[in-house]
Amino acid sequence: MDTSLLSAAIVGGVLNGSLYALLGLAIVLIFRTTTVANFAQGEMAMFSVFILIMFADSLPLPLWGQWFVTVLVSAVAGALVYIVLLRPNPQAEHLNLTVRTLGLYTLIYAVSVYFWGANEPYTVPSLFGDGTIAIGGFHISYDQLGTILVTVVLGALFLLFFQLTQLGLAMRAVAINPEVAGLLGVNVAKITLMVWFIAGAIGAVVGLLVAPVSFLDTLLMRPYILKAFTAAILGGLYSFPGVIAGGLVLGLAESFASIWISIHLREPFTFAILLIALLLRPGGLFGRVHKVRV
Amino acid sequence: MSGPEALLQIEAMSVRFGGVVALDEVDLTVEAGSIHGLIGPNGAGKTTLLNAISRLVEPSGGSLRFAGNDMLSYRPHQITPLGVARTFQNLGLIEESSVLDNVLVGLHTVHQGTLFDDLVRFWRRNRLEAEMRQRALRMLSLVGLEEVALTPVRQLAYGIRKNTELARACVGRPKLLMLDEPTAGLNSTEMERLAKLLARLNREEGLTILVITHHVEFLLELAHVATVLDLGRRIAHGTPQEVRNNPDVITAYIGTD
Amino acid sequence: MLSRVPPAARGGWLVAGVATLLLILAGFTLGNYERYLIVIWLIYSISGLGLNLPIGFGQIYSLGQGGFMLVGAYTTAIVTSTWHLPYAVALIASLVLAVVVGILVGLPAMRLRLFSLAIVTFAFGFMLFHVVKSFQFTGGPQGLFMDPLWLTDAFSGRAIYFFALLVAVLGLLASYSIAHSKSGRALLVVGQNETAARSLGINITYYKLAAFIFASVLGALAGSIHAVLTSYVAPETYAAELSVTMFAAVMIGGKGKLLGPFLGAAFIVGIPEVTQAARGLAEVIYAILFILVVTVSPGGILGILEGLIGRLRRGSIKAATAGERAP
Repeated sequence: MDTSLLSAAIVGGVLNGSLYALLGLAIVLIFRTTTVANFAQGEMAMFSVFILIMFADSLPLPLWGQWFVTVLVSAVAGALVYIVLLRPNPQAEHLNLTVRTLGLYTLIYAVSVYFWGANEPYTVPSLFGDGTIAIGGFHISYDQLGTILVTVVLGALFLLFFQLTQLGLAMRAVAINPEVAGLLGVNVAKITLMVWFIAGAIGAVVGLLVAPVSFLDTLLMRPYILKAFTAAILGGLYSFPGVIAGGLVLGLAESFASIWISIHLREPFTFAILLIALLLRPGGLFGRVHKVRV
Repeated sequence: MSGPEALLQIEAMSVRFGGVVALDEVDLTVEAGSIHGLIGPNGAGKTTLLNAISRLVEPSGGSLRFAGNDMLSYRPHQITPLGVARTFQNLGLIEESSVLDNVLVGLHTVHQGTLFDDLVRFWRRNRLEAEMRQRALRMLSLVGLEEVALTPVRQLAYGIRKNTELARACVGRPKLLMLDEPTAGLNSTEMERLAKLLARLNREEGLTILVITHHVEFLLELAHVATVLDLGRRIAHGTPQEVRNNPDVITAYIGTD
Repeated sequence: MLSRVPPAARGGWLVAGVATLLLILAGFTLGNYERYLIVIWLIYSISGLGLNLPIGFGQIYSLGQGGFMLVGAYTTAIVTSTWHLPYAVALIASLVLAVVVGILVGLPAMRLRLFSLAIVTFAFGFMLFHVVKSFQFTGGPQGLFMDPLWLTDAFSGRAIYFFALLVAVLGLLASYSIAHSKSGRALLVVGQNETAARSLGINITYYKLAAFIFASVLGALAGSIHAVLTSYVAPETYAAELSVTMFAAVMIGGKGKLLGPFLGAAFIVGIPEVTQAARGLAEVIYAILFILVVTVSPGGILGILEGLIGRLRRGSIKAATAGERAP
C-alpha cells in the first residue's frame, strides 16, 4: 500500500479514536459512579458548541478565552442536569435514570432545532489555524495535531487526577460502592455532582474539537456518541485505560476499513467489530466479567 | 435407586476463586430420607458447597454424585429435573407476581407445556396450567399460604416470603431440598413452625433435606446428621449432639467469633 | 376455587374489549386523517407490545427495535414492488427474516447484560440504517417507492386500518398468553435473578432469545404495516431515533404491563398532534412531558393510573371492612 494513504489512515484513525476515547471517558465516569448510561452526552457536547458560537464569541476575549468560558458553562450545565434530572425520585431503578437521559437527549435536540434549525450548517473557528506540517512521511494538519494533543493531555490529566488526588480517590470509592463510600464519610451527592460537572466539561471540549472540522449542525455528535459507547463497551465499561484503548482500536479499525473495504460500509463494519469482540469476550476486550454474588 | 449408595455423595471436592481456596477437599454424604445440617462460622464455605451442588460454581477437583448421576457433567438448569431444589439467602422471588405465580415457577421442569403451547395451543396450555395450579395450591395449603395465594410477594412480610420460596422449592417434589439459612430473620415462633414443617415434609413426603443454619437449637431439634465446615474444610460430622460437643467445633466457633 | 383469570387482569380485559369495539366502530365512521393517525398509533403499539416482553419481563434492554421495523418495511417494499409478488408473500418473508435476524443478533447479544446489550442492539439498528442507505437494491438514501397494493386502497383505505387493528389484537392476545403462562413466569425469574432461574431448571438463553425474537417479529410486522400505509420506505424513517422512540414508548406507557405499550404509543403519536399548534415548540413540549412522566412515575402512565385506581379501591375496601375489623 501507498505510504501516504497509510499515514493518512493512521492519522485519521488516531484522531477519531482519541475523540471517541475522550467522550467515552465521560460516559464511563458517569456510568461507574451512578450506573447511569448517559445517552445525552453527545447532545450536551453539541449544545456546548452552540453556546460558543451564539454567546461566548461575542465576549471580548481571544478564542481560547471563549473556549474556556464555554467549557465552564457546559460543566455547570452538566451539574445542573444532575440536580434537575437525576436527583428527583432517586430510589428509581437505574434503568429509569438512564431513560431520563434519553428524554434529555430528545429535549436538547428539540431545543437546538427550535433555536438554530435542523440541517443548517454553521462554521466554527478553529483554535489551531490552517496549515499542515510534515513529519517524516506523515502529513498532519494543525487541526489534527491540535486535536490529538488536546485529547492526549486531557486524557492524561484525567487519569492522573483519578489516581493521585483526594477528590479522584473519593470518586473511585463512590464508583466501587456508593453506600460504603457514604458510610466512610464521602459526600456521595457532592461527588456525583462533581462527576457530572467534569463530564459536562469533557463533552464541551470534544464538541469544540469536532465542530471546526465538520461544520456545526444539530446532528453534530450523532456519529460520535455511538462510537464513544462502543469504545466504552470494548474497554469493559468500568476501566478508564480500557475506554481509551477501545476508542483508539475502534478509530484505527474503521479508518482502515474505509480504505480496504468501502467508505460506505464503515459504520456497519464498526458494528461488526463490536459484535465479534463481544461474542469472543462478553466482558469487553480489556475488562473482566463482573460476577454477581449469590 | 440402586445399591447402598447415598442420595448425595461428595468426595474430595475443592473450589477455588482466583487464589482463594473456598472449599478444600470436602467430603459429604447425605443419606436418602435424612435431614442433614450444615454448620460453620462465616466464610466456612457452606453456601459455596450448596452452589457447587447446584452447579453454579465449578469445582477444581473432586466428585459429585446424586442418585446415581455424575452431576459434574450437567449444566445448572439440568439439575432440577434430577430432583434437586434449593432456596437462597436473598430470596430469588418475582416481587411483582403473586405467591401462587411464584410457586408455579417451581414447577417449571414438571410443567409439560412448551412455548408453542403458550402461544398457539391455548387449549393444551389451559389444561396444563389448571393442573399445575392445583398442585401449587395444594403445596400452598401445606405450608399455610393459601390465604395470600393471589397477593403480590412485594406486599408480604419477610417470613411469608421465605415460606413462599420454600413452597416454590418443594412443589416440584424434589428428592433433595437444600436450604440456605432458612432461619435467618425469623423469630422463635416462626422458627418453631418451620422446624415442624420441615420435619413433616421429611416424614410424610420422604424429602431429604440439606440445611445451612446458624441456630443450634434449630439444628438439634431437626437434624439427624450434622457436618461442620471451617475455612473450607470439614472439621467434624456426626449426630448434632456429637458435633456440638466436639472440641474442634468449639475452637472453630470461639476462635473466629 | 380460583377463577381462571386473575382479578387484576379482568379490568384490563374490559378496557381492551371496549377499546376494540370502539375502534371497529371508528373504522367505519372516522375520516381519512383520523384513521391514518390511529393506524400509526397501532403500528407503534404493535412494535411496543413486542418490545415490552424483553424489556418489561426479561430485563433485556433492547434498543434496536427500529432495526426490526426496518427489516419488515424494506422486505415488504422489495417483495411487493421490486419482485412484484403478493403482499402475503411479503408478510411471510418479513416474519421469516425477522426471526433469522433476531437469532443472528440475539444469540451473541443475549450473553450481555443491561447497558452493553442496549448499546449492541442500538448499534444493530444504526448499522441496518447505513446498510439500506448504501445499497442499490434498497434504494440508497432516497428509499423505495412501492407499487399500489390492494391492502393500501381497498374499501377506501379501511382495509389497512382493520388489518392493523387485527394484528394489534392478535399481538395483545399473544402477549397475554405468554405473560400468564409458564414462559412468561420463566422470563420474569430470568429478569429478576438469573441464579435463581438456573437453579429452578430454567434455560436462560432459550427464554431470553425467545423474548427477543418475539420483539423482532412484532417489530417487523409493525414495519410491514407502516410500509403499506405510507407506500414508501426511506432510511431516515427507520433511523436509530426510531429505536429510541420505541424504547421510550414502552417505558412511558409502563413496562411489564400489557396495556402499557398502547398508552406509550398514544403518548408518542398523540402529544405531537396535540401540541402541533405550538409550531416548532411541539417537539420541545413533547420532550419535557417525556422527561416529566419518566421522572415522576417510574411505572409510566399506567403506573400513575394504577396508583389512582388502587387508592380509590383501597378507600372503598377500608370503608366496607371498617366495621368488621378493629385495627
